Amino acid sequence: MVSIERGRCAYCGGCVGMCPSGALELAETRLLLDQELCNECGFCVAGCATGALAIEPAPLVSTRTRLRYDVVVVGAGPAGATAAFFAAEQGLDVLLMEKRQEIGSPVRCAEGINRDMLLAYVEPEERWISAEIRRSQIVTADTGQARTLEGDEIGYILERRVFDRVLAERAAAAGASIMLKTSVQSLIMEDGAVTGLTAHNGRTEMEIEARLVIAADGVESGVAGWAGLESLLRPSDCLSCAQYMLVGIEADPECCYYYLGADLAPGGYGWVFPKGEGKANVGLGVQADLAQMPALEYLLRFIGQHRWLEQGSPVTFITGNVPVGVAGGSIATDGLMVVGDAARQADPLTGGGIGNAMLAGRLAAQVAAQAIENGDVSAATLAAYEQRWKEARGRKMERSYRLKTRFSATDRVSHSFQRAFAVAAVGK
Amino acid sequence: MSEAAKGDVFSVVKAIIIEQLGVPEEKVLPEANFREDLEADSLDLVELIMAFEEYFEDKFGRTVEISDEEAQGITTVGEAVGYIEKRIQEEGLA
Repeated sequence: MVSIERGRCAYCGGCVGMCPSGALELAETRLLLDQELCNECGFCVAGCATGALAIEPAPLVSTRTRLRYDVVVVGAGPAGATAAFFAAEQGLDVLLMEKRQEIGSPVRCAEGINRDMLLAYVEPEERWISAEIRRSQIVTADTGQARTLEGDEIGYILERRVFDRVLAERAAAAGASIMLKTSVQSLIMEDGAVTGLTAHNGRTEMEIEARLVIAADGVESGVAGWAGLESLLRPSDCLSCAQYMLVGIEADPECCYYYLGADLAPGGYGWVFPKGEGKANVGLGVQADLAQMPALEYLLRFIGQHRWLEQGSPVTFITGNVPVGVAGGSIATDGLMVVGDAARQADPLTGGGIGNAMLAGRLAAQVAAQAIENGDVSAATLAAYEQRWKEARGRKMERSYRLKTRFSATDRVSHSFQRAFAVAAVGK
Repeated sequence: MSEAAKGDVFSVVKAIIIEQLGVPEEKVLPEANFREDLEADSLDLVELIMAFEEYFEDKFGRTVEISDEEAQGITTVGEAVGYIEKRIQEEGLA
């Protein structure tokens, strides 16, 4: 009997093309096998590039490997890749670990970033800039009233598929090792301190010793919680989002559109971010505790109400949560620092998180280098990371959170909120 | 809004600024520039205006509404105080 090991399957479809009996089918991102049609010829096993297929009895492929690094970074988004880059640049032996098989895809993000925040870390390159933004328009859905804010080079819409990869390439060039399709399974703890982790890549189980672990594993972070840090996201601090990339949209290619409305997107907003050549990220987020239906339903309604959006065709669809709170507890403990969405570092008012993630990644790497040099990775030492983060962004995060919580869902169409949101969104 | 507050708009404005921007009292002078001297950014100013509007709301729900254009003309603490005093008079806020 042919078996599929899901964790190793790359959904390439290679086996489907080789199967003479049509027993294999690639459905969405899942390989399906019809055992009744299968004649167990084994062509598919021979043709599988990743070793995901086997004819029973399946050989035991699992082996245990022991590895050792100064720093292991979990998650290769902007926070993790930036942390890995700066840590490697300071001479540390770094492993950057990504659970997906491709860095930067799928990316759950509207891809907007303020210009200055981006320039602090990388020089803009054409290949990962989709659009340069010079204007923002805030539209109040109930009244149709629009307010436009002009500015010079307010920001960019990125092509994160490329951007995230470039950040990872930079980390690799600085000396970091990268592992793809590798999931962390558990933390190794000694006397309450994180001293490493176990991971699996579909072929090998690994026990990885680390002097320090940096958790950059996103909004659904498991690592922080395993280490005993408070990581639960309250529904009121969670923006449940859905987004299509639509093609064939006639929009101002230099303008970000924001739509506010208590019915349109309770506690959140709808957005249209241009991606150049008639493309746009069209999405919507709703505060999870206020949502009456899934975010996708709000998004479909929003698109349906706007002819210029309705005429577009979707080419990608993503859903995901954006943390719009501030970390409830500490973001560092013995042997571990948490960065990016995992540390709830996205702006509570707008949900923008790329710039903050990169900042946190750099700060964590700096503190890591110092801690490792001094041979002290205790919570007390790593608290310097949290302190630097708060010095840099604490007041702004608190302010955004204050503004977010100050307005109820119905007040978010008020003049005052629009004014605050507009300024925050434009980032000036 | 109390009579005392109306009578001393500057003290109120000053207290709100100290609380919101976390700046030392001695820096909040009438001639202090919000951006340069008090290191406030645009969102700070929006939040300050919101706080002023909220504080100076009278029992009839009327307030010293400050429009975007007017807000842009306010650069110093003294200008904010002057503007609010003028609005209180014009509107006859109770």
